[in-house]
Amino acid sequence: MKALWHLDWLRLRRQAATWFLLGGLFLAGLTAIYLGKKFQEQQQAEISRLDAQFQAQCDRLEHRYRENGEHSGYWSYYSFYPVHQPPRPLAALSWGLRDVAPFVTWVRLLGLEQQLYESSLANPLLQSLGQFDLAFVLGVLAPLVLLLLGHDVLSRDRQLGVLPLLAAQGGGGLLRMLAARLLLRLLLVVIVCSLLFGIAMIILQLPPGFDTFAWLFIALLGLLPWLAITAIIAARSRSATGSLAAAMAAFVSLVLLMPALVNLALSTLFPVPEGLELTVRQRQIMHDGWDQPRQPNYDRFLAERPEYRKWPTVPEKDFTWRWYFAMHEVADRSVAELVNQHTQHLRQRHAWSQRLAWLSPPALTQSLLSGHSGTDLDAHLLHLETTRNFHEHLKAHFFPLIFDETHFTAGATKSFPRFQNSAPAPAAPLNPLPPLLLAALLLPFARPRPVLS
Amino acid sequence: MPVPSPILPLARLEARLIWRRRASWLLLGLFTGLMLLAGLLSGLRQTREREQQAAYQKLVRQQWESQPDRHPHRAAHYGTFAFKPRSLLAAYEPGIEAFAGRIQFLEAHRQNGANFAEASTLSSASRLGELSPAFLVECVLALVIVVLGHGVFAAEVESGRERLLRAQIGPRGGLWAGKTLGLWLGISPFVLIAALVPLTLLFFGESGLADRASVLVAALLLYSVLWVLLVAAVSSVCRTSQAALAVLICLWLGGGVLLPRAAAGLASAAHPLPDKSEFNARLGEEIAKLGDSHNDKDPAFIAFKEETLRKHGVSRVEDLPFNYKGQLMMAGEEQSAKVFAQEHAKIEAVLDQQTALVRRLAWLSPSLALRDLAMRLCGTDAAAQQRFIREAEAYRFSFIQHLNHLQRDHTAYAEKNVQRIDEHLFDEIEDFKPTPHTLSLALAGSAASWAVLGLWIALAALLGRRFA
Repeated sequence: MKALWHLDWLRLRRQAATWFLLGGLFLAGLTAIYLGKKFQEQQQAEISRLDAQFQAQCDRLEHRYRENGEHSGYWSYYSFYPVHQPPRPLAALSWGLRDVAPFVTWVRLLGLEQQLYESSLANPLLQSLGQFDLAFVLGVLAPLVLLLLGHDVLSRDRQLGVLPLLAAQGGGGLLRMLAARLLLRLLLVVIVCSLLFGIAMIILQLPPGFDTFAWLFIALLGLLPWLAITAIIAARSRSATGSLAAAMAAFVSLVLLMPALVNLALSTLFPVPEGLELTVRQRQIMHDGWDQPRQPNYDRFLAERPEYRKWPTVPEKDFTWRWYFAMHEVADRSVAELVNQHTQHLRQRHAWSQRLAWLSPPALTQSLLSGHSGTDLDAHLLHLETTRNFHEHLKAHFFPLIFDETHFTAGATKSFPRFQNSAPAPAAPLNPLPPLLLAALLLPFARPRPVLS
Repeated sequence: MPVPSPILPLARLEARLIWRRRASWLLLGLFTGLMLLAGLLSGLRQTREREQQAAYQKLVRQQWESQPDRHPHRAAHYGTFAFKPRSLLAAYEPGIEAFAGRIQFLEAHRQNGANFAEASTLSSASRLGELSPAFLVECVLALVIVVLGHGVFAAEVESGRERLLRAQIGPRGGLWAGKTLGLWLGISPFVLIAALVPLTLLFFGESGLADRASVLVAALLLYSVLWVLLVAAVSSVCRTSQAALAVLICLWLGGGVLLPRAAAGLASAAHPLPDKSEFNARLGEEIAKLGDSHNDKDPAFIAFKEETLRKHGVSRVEDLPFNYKGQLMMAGEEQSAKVFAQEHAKIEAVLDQQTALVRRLAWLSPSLALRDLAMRLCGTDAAAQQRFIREAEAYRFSFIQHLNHLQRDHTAYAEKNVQRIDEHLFDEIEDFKPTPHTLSLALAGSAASWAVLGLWIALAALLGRRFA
C-alpha cells in the first residue's frame, strides 16, 4: 500500500491540474471565510446597535411627553421593542436562512400577528444568486475537486495501456489500487478542508470545543458518499473522457438538479398559505371592533384573560385604551388556530425536505450543517416563538398599568421591559449516520472492470 | 465548373455524427424529461399562486367596499394591500420571486416594505436553488453542448483525420464554418425543447406575452450559438479532446456555479445595506422632527395653521369652510411621504450599486447575462420589483390623500374625530393598478446583457476561426 501511495503521489505531484484544483478550492475557501467574517460582523453590529436605538426611541418619547406626562396607553402605543436571536458562532460558516429570515423583530403592544412577517432589508437579487459560505465550499466544491481528481485514476492507465502492468506489479489487484489512489486524493482534499477550517477558527474566533469540531466532522463525513460516487465512476469507466463526462453528470444531477427538483416539488406539493391570510383576517377583526358594541368584545377578552376581571366593563362611547388593547388581543386570539396550522405546515415541509435530502449528498450536508449552526427553519421558528413570548411579557407588564388608567411621567421609560433572553438557537442533535449510510450503500457498486476489457 | 461549398455537407456530417452516439439520445431524453417536469411543476405552482393572489385581491376589495360608515382616518388605518402583478412567464424564470416581498400593506403615515417573501419559510437546503426551465437552459443546456461538442476539432486532430479533411476541402476552407454549423444543428433539438416552454405558456391565455416570449426565444438562440462557438473555439485550440473538455468544464463551472454566488457575496460585502433596525431608527428620528399631524395644536404646525387661516381670511379654524384636521392630515402625509422617499432613495442607491457590481462581473459569465435577460422579460427582475415598490408607494400616497380629503370635506372640526361618513364614499377609491409589464419596459437597461452575449460570440468566433 505504501509503495502504491508513494508512486501515485509522485505522479499526482507533477500534474498541474492537482495544484490548480486544490489551490482553487483553497482560494474559494478563503473567499468564503472572508464573506463569513463580513456576515458575522454585520449581524453582530446590527444586534449591538439595538440597545442604543431603543434608548433613542425612549428619549424621543420622554421628550414628547416631558411636560405633563401622558396616559400609559400613549406611551405603549408609541414604543417598539427589539427582540433578537444572536447567531451561534458557527452561523458564519453556514448561513442557512439567516440572511433571508429576520432575526431581529421590533414589536409593540398592538396585535402581534401583523408585526411578524416583515421582511428584512435586503437585495433579493443577491439572495437569489445563492450563498458563498464555507458550507458551500466544503459541501459542494470539495466533492467536485474530489471527483475531478479521482474520476480517472484507473481509466487513464487503461487508456495508456499500462493498467495490466501496474495491476500485476502492485499485487492485490485493481480494487486495492483504486482504494489506495482514491484515499490519497481524499486525504489531500481533507487536508485542504481542515486547513481552511483552522483558518476559519482563527479569523472567526470560533471557540475550540466539541461543537465547533463537530461541524468539521459533519462536513468531512459529507465527503464519504462522494468518495463512493468517485469510486464507482473510476471503477466502471473505460476512458478518461468518459469518466470526466460521468463525473460531471453526477455532479450536475446530485448538486444542481436533485436538490432543485426536490425544492420545486416541495413548494408545489406543500403549499404553505402565506402569513397574508393571518394579516388579512386579523386586520378585519381588529377594525370591525371599532364599529361594534364594545362590551361584547371586551367580554370575549375577559373570558380568555380572567386575570383582568378586576376591570369588568368598558364605556361604549368614550375611547379607552383598555378596550383598544383588549380588542387587539381578541384579534390575535381569533387567528391563533391559523397560526398553529401555518407553523405545522412549515414544520411538515421542513421534515420532508430533510427526508428527501437523502437523494442528494450536498443537500444532506447543507441540511445537517445549518441544523448544527442554528441557522435553519427551526431556528427561525424559534425566533418567532421567542417574539411571541416577549409580546406576552409586554402585555403582562403594561396591561395592569393601562387598565388602571395610569399616567406616566418623565422617566417612565426607565422601567420599560427589555428583551433579556438572548440565547442563540440550539444546535440540532448531531447525527453522523445519514452520510455514512449513504456511502455504505453506494460503495459496493465500485467494482472495477476487469483489467483487459 | 464551380466547386460546391463544403460547408453544408460538413455540417450535415457533423450533426449526423452527434446523433449516432447513444449518449446524445440519452441526454436528449433526460433534458426533455427535466424540462417537462420543471415546466409542469413550475407552471402548476405559478397558476395556483396567481389564482390565490387574485382571490386575495378580490377579498381585500370586497372588505374595502363593505366597510360600514367610518371616520375616514379609521379607513386610512384599516388600509389596503398592493399586490405585485404576476405573469405566467414567471414559471419560466422565477428570478427573485421567492426572495422579494410581493405584497405591501398600505396605510396612513408609514410606508411598509414589501413583505411576505417566501424564502424565509423554506428549508436551508432550498438555498441550493430551485429547478426552473430557465435554470435548465442556463446551466444544463450549456453543459450538454460542452459534452457533445468538445471533440469537434480536437478529436479530429487526435485521430489524424483533420489533415485528410483539409485535403478534401481544398484551399477554400470552410472547415470551421461547416463543423460549427453542424454542431449547432446537432444540438438544435435541445434548443427547440428549451424554446417550447416559454412558447407553450402563450397558450394559457395571458395576453401581451407573445412579444416578450419571442425575444426570450431569441436570447436563448443567441445563448446556444454562443456556447457552440465557444466549444468550437476551445476545441480547436486544445490538442486533445480531454484537455478541451477540462477547459470547457472550468469555464462552465466558473461562470455558472461559482461566479454568481461569489458576485452576490462580494456585492453585499462591498456595498453593505443598512439593516432594517438602523433604517427604521433613522426614519423614526426624521419623522419625529415633523410633528404629529393628528394633533392640531402641535407646535410644529403653527406656521401651517396661520397660513391656512390667512389664505381663507378667517381667524379661527372653526370658521374655515372645511375641517382643518383633514387639511392638517394632508400636510402631514405629504411631509412624511417626502421623508420616506428620501430615506428610500438612499436604500435604492445602495441596491443599485450592488446590482451594478453584479452586472460588471456578468461580463465574465454569459449565463449571468442570459439570466438577467430572462428575468427582465419574465418580469421577475430587480427593476420590476423596484417599480412595484415605487408604484405602490405612489398609490398609497394618493389613496391616503383621498381619504384625508374626505375627512376635510365631509367631517366637521367640532366633532372631534368621532364622526362617520357614508360608506359609499369609500367605494369611489380605486384599487392599485400597476403598470402592465411590456417588452419596452423589460428591455430598458438590458443593453449591457445583450452586449455580453455579443462580445462572447464575437470573441469565440474570432478565436475559433483563427485556429481552425
